[in-house]
Amino acid sequence: MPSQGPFTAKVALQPEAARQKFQRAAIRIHGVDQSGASFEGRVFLNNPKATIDTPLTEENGYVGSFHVYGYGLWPDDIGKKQSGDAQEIRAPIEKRLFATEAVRRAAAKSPEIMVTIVPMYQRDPPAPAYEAMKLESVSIEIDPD
Amino acid sequence: MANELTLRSSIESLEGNAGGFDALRDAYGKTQAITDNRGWTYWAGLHGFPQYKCWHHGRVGNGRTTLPYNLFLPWHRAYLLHWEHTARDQNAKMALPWWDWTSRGSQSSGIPKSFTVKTVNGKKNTLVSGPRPSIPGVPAGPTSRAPGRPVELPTVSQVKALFDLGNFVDFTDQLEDIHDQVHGWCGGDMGVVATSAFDPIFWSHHCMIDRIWYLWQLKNGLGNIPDDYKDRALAPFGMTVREVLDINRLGYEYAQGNSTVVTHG
Repeated sequence: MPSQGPFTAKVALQPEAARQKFQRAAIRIHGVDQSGASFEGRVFLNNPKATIDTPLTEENGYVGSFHVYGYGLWPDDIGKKQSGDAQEIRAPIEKRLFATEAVRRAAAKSPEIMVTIVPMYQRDPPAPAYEAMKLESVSIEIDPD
Repeated sequence: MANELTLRSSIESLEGNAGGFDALRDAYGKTQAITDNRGWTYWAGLHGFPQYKCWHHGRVGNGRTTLPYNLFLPWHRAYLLHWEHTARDQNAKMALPWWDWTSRGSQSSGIPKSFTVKTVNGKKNTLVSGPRPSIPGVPAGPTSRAPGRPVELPTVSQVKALFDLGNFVDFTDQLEDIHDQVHGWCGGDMGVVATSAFDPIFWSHHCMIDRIWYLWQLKNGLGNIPDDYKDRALAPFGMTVREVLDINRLGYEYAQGNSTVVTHG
């Protein structure tokens, strides 16, 4: 769903995965729209109240950011027909943020982890592009030892 | 083409040499004045508006499913190579320099001065902006930037962490995110796919990305890429992924020891 503000989702780890040791954990953000403005997605765990003003610290649940390099302006969007495989190029993408230690800490407390993504948009694009973060879902990928 | 390798250097090393940017400024100035397919707007327009040939992240193929490969690194290697050849046709001493955004200078001052000072010896500095054509809704004009704070650029530790990723898919995925970060940090035209390649700093940003891939290849193997990538075509360059894996076979190399990110250990 489009989101002007933060996106929040609860991710349930398999209880056995949460208890086990794992060598790597990645937060996967699926179906991210890349056709609008560029933005940084700030990722917080177990802090659904995070905003653009939340300090980027471990205490606030900040685990890192992913970045979307948007197409920005597109002739189709402003009344000009773009030929070719344009729609295929700007299809939704997947982003992956490695966050092993943060997931390990959160999983030690509960197999249910709240993931919050706060978008920060780029400054002064050459033409107005819509600033609405669209993504389909979030998951956590665990690579066992 | 001559048989010798073209040597790409860092912007910071060139800033230490009097006249270090003369050939680059001359080549960029000449290409910016050319309006046919040897010119700036043609080559920049291959990446974004109006041709949109670039590869970023995934694409959707026939049947609307996401293609299981990402040609971001090989496509941009071929693109830079062809652009460098085109620019060298205007000045044979020109070579692409890389912008090391992890360097002490960039972390304190942002975009290098050689790409921001408006005039050099009384002439317009052709590295500050490039001509952007008229785009529906946006009049033609010189590109502009709106950079963030220098401390928000990617760091040495971020880049060094990439070399621990032995799997190409993991590596390209994470390097592309750093690439995305720098585009957004530059803001303005550089910040979006449609217009970024019209800005002269674009080529040096991508030269840094290509060099990081090269250093990763030195550690992890030139042929370290999934087999099903190797025969993929890199349109419109008439090359395959396999043909761009070894930069020396492409006729260029990267200077040693003049950048923050030098080793891969």
